[in-house]
Amino acid sequence: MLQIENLHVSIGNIKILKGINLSVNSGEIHAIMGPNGSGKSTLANVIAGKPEYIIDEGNISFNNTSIDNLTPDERANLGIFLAFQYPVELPGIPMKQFIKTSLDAKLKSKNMKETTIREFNEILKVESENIGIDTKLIKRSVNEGFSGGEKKRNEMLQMALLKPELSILDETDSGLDIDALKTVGQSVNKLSTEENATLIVTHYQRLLNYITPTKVHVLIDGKISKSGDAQLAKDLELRGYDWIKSLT
Amino acid sequence: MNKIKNHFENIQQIKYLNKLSGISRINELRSNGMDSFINSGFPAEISNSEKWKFSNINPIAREKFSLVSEIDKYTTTSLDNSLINHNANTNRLVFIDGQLDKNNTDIGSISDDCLISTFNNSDSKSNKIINNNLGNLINIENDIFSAINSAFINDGLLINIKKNTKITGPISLLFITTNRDKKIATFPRVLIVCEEGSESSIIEGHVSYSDQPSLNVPVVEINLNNRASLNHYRYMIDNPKGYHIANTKVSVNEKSHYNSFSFSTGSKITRNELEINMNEKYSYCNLNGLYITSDKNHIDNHININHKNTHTKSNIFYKGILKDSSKAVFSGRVLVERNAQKTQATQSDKNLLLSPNVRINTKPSLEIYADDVQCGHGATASYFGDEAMFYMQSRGIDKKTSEQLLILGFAEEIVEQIPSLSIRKFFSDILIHRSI
Ligand SMILES: Nc1ncnc2c1ncn2[C@@H]1O[C@H](COP(=O)(O)OP(=O)(O)OP(=O)(O)O)[C@@H](O)[C@H]1O
Ligand SMILES: [Mg+2]
Repeated sequence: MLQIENLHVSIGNIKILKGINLSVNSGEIHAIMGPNGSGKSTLANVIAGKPEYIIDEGNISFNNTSIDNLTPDERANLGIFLAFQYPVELPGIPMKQFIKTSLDAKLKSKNMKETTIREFNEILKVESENIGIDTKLIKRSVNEGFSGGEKKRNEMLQMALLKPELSILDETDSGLDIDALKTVGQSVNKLSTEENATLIVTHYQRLLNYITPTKVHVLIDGKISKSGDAQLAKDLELRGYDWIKSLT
Repeated sequence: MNKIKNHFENIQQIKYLNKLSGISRINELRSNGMDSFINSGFPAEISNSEKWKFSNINPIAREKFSLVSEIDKYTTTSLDNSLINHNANTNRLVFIDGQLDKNNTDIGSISDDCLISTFNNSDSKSNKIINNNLGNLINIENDIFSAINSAFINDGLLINIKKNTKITGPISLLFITTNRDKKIATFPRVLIVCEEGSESSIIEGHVSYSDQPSLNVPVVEINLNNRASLNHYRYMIDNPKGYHIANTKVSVNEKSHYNSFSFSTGSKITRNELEINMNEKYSYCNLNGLYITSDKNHIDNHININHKNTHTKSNIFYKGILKDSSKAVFSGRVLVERNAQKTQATQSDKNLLLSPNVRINTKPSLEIYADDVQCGHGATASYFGDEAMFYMQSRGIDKKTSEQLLILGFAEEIVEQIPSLSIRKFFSDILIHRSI
């Protein structure tokens, strides 16, 4: 589904990613771990199409077509979803309107009919209950004044509604209480089918107690230094990144 | 006289200026206005003043404008008809380049409760009202644009709402600047006198179709007698080269309500001056406004409220949306005089910056000389940068729609203040049109 080959990315004159190779197939869940500043968010953002990053070399393809020249909204409508490490506040834009517009954009791109207000309200209600989002939040502007945890739950709500083919979760588990962590685990598991894939950026093994990754990759200084199965995350928790660095 | 010819090239050919008006007050104002203009000159020479600190109007002084005294070959098909016909039941007056356009004007359904007359066509009753009221609220000596407007008064408009009457449906005034091969200057003049206990709504629109640097200098004087209430909706859609310097002066008296909504967009330089005098107790004004600047626009809203009596109440709530390399200025000055106890005044100006190259100068200020008052003010500017845009796009919403959502979302708080549903819809439509 997602194929990344020899990806070199820079911003301004700073090289951040230095030759990433990654292949995620449908039905798989991949975890990306790595020290602060190693380039995890950069990788997530580049896949979603953030404009200021420059691809110096290599390419990204999704379902066998290159997406390098697509805008973020075009990628989103192909089925790529990024849950932000730091979700952005949009004062003045009501949550409902925002979520409905994004849902309708996706339907429209597939030549499907937009949801009616009533249908939308119904699915929104069901999913908000699943995710445990307070209905009061739904009445507010997008993320405005939301707590850190509420913002992350909001990302999960949008993911649940958009049902993406590829979900990228950038530290969605950071700053969450134990219940919320469980919710994130459940949301991901609920969405994972043989047709979908998930890429989880995380610092902690604890999320992986709920989700069993097919593969775990360790990103250090813009390169994947080691890949392995779920056991790698547990080893890392015990031994730290210096262990990986000493191996290379 | 040469001084004037430097700015207005065809002044000799304009017939109405050489003819005395049948209304003595108009002749007086014309001559005072002309004197004042000749004495103080164009704003180029006053640009160092505190009043014009953030708005450089030198470019206006450097242009040479033409005056117009007849409607040019003009067809309404070139017009955005929806602006004229937004509400079939609306009484409307259309002015084209300063002249009343009889073809598009329709005040057929106006009742006897209301007197509408142009200055060139007024009867003795109207003349009396004009003689008693016109020019009372402006300051010709100290305000050069009121002086210029007065010097060039031609086909002005009187609206007189009679005592204790309620006018249903708005009276719509539309001032259109057409596209000609010259830089035209227009000086709309409106006098609104709302008698005791009357209720009415007026829409004042200024739209330019010109691609020249044209100049529009309207002066609107509004006198609200005791217990009168007026909803005053104002919109200005100018072209990117246009100049718009407007003066609105309002006198609010005992228990009377002035409710205004203002929308401005376009224009190279706009200055909307709004002065409200809260003369008598229990007078109330509620001012809402919205400005959208793009390209190299400059829009300046300059509001003065003078609380002169007890139990008076004023609210100012403006919002601005700034794009590209544009600039906006907001200055709201609320003065509470010594004897204006129990005054309540709030003001707020919020801005949404959509580009790192925009500039906003926002300066709400309070000057309080009474001790028993409740006043508050605030201003904010929030930046919507690339991060917000990326977030929205990452949810499948394209760039244009994202920007529109941002703008409409931000504007909603102001638009929802409009009491009439049909007028709210009218402004929402203009907004949607202007935000894509
Ligand atoms: N817009 C930017 N301008 C300059 N440097 C940037 C920018 N974005 C990222 N970087 C730099 O690139 C490097 C990688 O950043 P990135 O956010 O991808 O790290 P990360 O692995 O997600 O870290 P963390 O675990 O702290 O979230 C960092 O050194 C960061 O400072
Ligand atoms: Mg990160």
